[in-house]
Amino acid sequence: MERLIGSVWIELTGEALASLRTQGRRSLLALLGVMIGSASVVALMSFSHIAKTEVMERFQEVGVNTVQIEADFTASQGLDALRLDTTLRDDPQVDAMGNMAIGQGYVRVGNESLSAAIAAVSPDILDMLHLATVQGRNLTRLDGCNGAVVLGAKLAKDARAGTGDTAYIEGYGFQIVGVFPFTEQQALNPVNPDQTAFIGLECSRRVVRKLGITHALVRVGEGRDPSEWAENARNDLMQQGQTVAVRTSKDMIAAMNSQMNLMSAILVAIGSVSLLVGGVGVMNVMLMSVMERRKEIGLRAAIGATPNEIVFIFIVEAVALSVGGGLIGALVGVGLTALGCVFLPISFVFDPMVLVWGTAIAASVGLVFGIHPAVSASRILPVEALRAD
Amino acid sequence: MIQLTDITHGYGPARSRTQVLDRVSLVMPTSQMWALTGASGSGKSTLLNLVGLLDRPHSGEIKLAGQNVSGLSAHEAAKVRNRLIGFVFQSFHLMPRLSAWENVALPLVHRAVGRTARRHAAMEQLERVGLDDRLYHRPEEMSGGQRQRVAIARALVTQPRLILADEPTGNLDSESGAMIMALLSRINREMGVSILMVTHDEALARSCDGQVVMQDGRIIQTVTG
Repeated sequence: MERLIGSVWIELTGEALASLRTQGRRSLLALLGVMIGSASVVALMSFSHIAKTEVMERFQEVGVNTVQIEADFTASQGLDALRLDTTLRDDPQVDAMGNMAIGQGYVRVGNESLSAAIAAVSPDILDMLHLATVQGRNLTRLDGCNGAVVLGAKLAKDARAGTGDTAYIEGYGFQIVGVFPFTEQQALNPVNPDQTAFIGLECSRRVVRKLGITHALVRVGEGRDPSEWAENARNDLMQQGQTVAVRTSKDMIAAMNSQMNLMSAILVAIGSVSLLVGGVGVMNVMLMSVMERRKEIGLRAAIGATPNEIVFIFIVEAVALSVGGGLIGALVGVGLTALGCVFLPISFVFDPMVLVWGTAIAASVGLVFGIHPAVSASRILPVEALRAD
Repeated sequence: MIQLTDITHGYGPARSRTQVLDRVSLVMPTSQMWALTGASGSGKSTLLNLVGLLDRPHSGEIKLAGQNVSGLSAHEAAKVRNRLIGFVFQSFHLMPRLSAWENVALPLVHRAVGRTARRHAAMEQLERVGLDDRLYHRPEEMSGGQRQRVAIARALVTQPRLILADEPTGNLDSESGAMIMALLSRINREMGVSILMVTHDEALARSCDGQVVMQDGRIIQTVTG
C-alpha cells in the first residue's frame, strides 16, 4: 500500500538509502571498515561472555549457597574437627558439610613417582563437589584410614595406575579403589581434582602432616543468606580461637563478575579502537561524498530542503553504513568466536545481546563520525553549491 | 511580486570586497514575465540568486509576494523557496540517478508528500511540458531540451508563484531554446506564474512583459510593456 501523505523524515531516509546504493564500491569500503571493527568488538564481547558463563557453571556445580572455610595457618594451627562439628554441623541452617586437609606430597605407583596434591577428605565433601568415580568406587565413611585412595584422572593417567594397584603416598601404601573422571577446576574446591590423591580424613595427620583440618565446605539451606551465615560462623570460630577465612560462592561470584566486567570493558575498549578506525573511514567517505555532491546539496537547498533536512540525509547515510557494517561484523564476530571455541577448551555460548550491542555501538560510531560531514554539508551556501563543478 | 530596495552585494572579505550589486531597486508586478539582461559580470545572476534566497544581500530589502524575506533564517528561507519559488537553471541540475518523474517530484519530498501523490503530481507536470512518455527515463537518456523541460516541470510541481530562470536556453540549440521559451511563456500566460529570467538573447528579452538592463552592478534601464 503506497502512501499519499508521508513524513519528511521517512521520505528523506528513503532518499539517503537510495543515494548510498548509487555510491557502490565506496559505500562497500566504508562498510568493510566498520564491519572489521564491529567483528572484533563482538568477538571480544562473546569470548568475555563465554568466560563468564564458564566461571558461573563452575560455581553452579558447587552450589551458590556453599561457603568455604579455610584455616589461617599464619595465626593458628589447623581447624579442630570436633569444634567444627559442634559449632557448624549442628547448626539447623546447615544442609551439608565436609572437612578436608590438603597438602603436597609424592605419589608412587610402580616405578612412577609424581608430585601431587594430597587431600584427606570426609566423604561428604566428595558428594558436595559432585565427584563420582569413573572407575572403581568412591571413598566411604567405612574406609577411614584403612589404606584406600581415589586418584584424579590426570594423576592416574600420568602414574599409569588403575583400580587395584598400590599407590605409595609419602611412603604409606594405599590401594587404589577408584579413579575420578577428568573434571574442570571447581569453584571453592581448594584442589584441582584431576591432579589430586583423595584419602580418608582420618589419615590426614599421618600423610598430610598438617596439624588439623585446612578447609571445610558448608552448604547453607535454601533461603538463607550464605554471606551472613559465613560471617556469623567466622565470629563463632574466632571466639573459640580458630582463626579462619571464609568465602562464599555468592561473594566470589560478585567479585568474579566485577573482575569479568572490568575485563570485558577493557577488551571492548581495545576492540573499539578498530571500530574507531572504521568510523574515521565512514567520516572520510562521507566528507568525500559531501564534496562530490555539492551540486545536489545546492539543488536540494534551492527546492526547499532545510539545513536540518540536509544534515539528516547525510547522517542517515553514515548511520546506515555503520549499522550495515556493524550487523555484518557482529555476525562475523560471532562466527569467529564459534570457530575459536573449536580450537580452545571452551564451549561456545551464543548471546544474542552481543549482536544488539555490536550493532548499536557501530551505529553510534556512525552517528558520531557522520555529524561533522553532515553539518558541513548543511552549511554550504546554496549559491556556492550550485556553482560547483 | 518582487520588490527590491537598495540591494547591495559583493564577494570576498570586507576590506577587499568586489562590489557586484550597487543599490539596486526594482519592482516587478505579479503574473508578468521579465528578462534580466546585460553583459557578463553585470550582476544579473547575482540579483536572481538574491531574489531566490539562495544568497543574502549585504544590505537592502527584498519583498516577495508582499513578505519581507531579507532577514529570514536559513530554515525559513528554505521553506519560502519550497512554497513560493521554482528554479530553472542553465545546466538543468537534474539528479542523474533519478528518473524524470522522480526528479520532478523531488521538491515534494521536502514537503512530506507521499510517493503516490508525488508521482501523480510529477506526471501531471510532465504531461504539461509534453514529456508524459518519458516518465521513467533518466537524464542521460534525454536530449538537452527534454532535460530542461523536466527541470521546468520540477519548478512547477510545487505550484509556485514565481519562477526564476537563469539562462534557461543557454545550453540549448536554437530550436530547443525556442521551444523552452514558448513553454515558459505559455506557463506565464495560462497559470499566471511570474517569471524572472536571465538571458543574453535580446530578441527573447524584448518579447517579455518587462526588461531590466544591468551594467556594472546597477540597473541602467527598465523597459515595461
